[in-house]
Amino acid sequence: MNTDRLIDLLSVDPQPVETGQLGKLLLMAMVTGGAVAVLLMLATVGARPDLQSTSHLEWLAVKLLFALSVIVSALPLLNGSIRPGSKNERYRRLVFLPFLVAIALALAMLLFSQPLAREPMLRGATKLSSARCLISIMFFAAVPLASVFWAVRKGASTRLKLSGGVAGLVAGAIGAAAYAFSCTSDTLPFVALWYGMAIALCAAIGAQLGPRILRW
Amino acid sequence: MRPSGKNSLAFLRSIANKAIARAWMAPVAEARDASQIGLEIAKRPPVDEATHPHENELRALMIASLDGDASSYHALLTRLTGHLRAYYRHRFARIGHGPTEAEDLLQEVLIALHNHRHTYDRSQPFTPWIHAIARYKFLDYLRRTKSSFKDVPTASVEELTAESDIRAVESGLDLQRLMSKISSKARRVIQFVKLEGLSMREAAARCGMSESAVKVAVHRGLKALALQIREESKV
Repeated sequence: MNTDRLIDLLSVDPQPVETGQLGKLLLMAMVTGGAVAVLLMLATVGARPDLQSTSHLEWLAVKLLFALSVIVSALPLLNGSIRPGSKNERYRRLVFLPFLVAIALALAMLLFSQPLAREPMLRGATKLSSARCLISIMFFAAVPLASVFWAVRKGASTRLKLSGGVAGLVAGAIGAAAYAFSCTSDTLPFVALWYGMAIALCAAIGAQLGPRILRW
Repeated sequence: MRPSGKNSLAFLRSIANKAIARAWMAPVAEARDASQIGLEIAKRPPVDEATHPHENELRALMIASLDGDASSYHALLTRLTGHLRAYYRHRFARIGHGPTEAEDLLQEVLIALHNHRHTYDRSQPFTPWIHAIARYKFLDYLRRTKSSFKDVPTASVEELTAESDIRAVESGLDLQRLMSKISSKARRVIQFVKLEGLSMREAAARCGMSESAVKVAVHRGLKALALQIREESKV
């Protein structure tokens, strides 16, 4: 085929294009994925039984704050990575900030507590808390991962691993936010370790899937 | 202790605010006339002309194209074709591939530009955008054809670089054959709108479809065509 012919083909009557849609799409995908994750949480592990009383609300707030700060700090990078040629190096460090803050606070808490109290802080409410946390968060993150990937595919990522990884990170944080309503392990070291690990695993999975799924 | 805590909180908040503002306050697309475009470019910090000698002209063309101006779009694609052809011939010569393959990839990039032009942010410079796409498509080509810079015989490199960069080459892709592989509905609307130059409304009347259905069909058809071109260049 002659390239000039292709140019004619493409440029007859081009439709006006709105360029602000991509961000909205991303937001929509996250909200939809988050809603499904919360419904899944209610249908499977259920909300924590003492959610009615106000006594543990501050812990729910802490967990939600962590998950939301991960999402907010990753959004500039995700939004930039799906637009070719955008400079997003400076957003990369921002992604690690919530994790560093959470880990630093957790270490400080462990350091200033009784040696005997340290292990239960990391273990959570019961022996199985950590496994329940990891599995639930990754399970709840599956639908957000699919929906965020769908939105990323509407863009044009030229760095598939990066976009996939950040999409996984955001999906993992959405899964963590959903799980926060169910989690009864109310210690900061637990949140930093197990929530952080679950979200990081989701990011690793996203980075692995990215080059396969996001190609265009 | 307390004031420093307050300061760092304010610092974090300002970082977050800035990041959110950058990410989400992308300018809303609206119809602009040429003078507005000129004004807008004048307001931006000047792009380094030495590194991007055609940035300002190409960007103005792109913005007009996004607003639906056909002649600007035609001019943009024609000019980019020249740049991209030189870009790819140079790189393909180094991996021992000929100008026909370069032309295939160039056409793939033109279609990619067309299908992904909504990812261009009008407030950003244009050349990094198209360069990132061109580079991505080149790396993608290397990956899917399993080429590498290593297995290139040096003799053929010199042979190939002797070729002129300006002369157009027919790509190995046969439009009629490619068209035969996409759905008949998409083929018909592309035939009407893109090849025979009918307006969307005329094509809609002739196909017995609504105008918006024609637009969707053309869009999908071009996507399918892009996919076919990719499939072809895999072999």
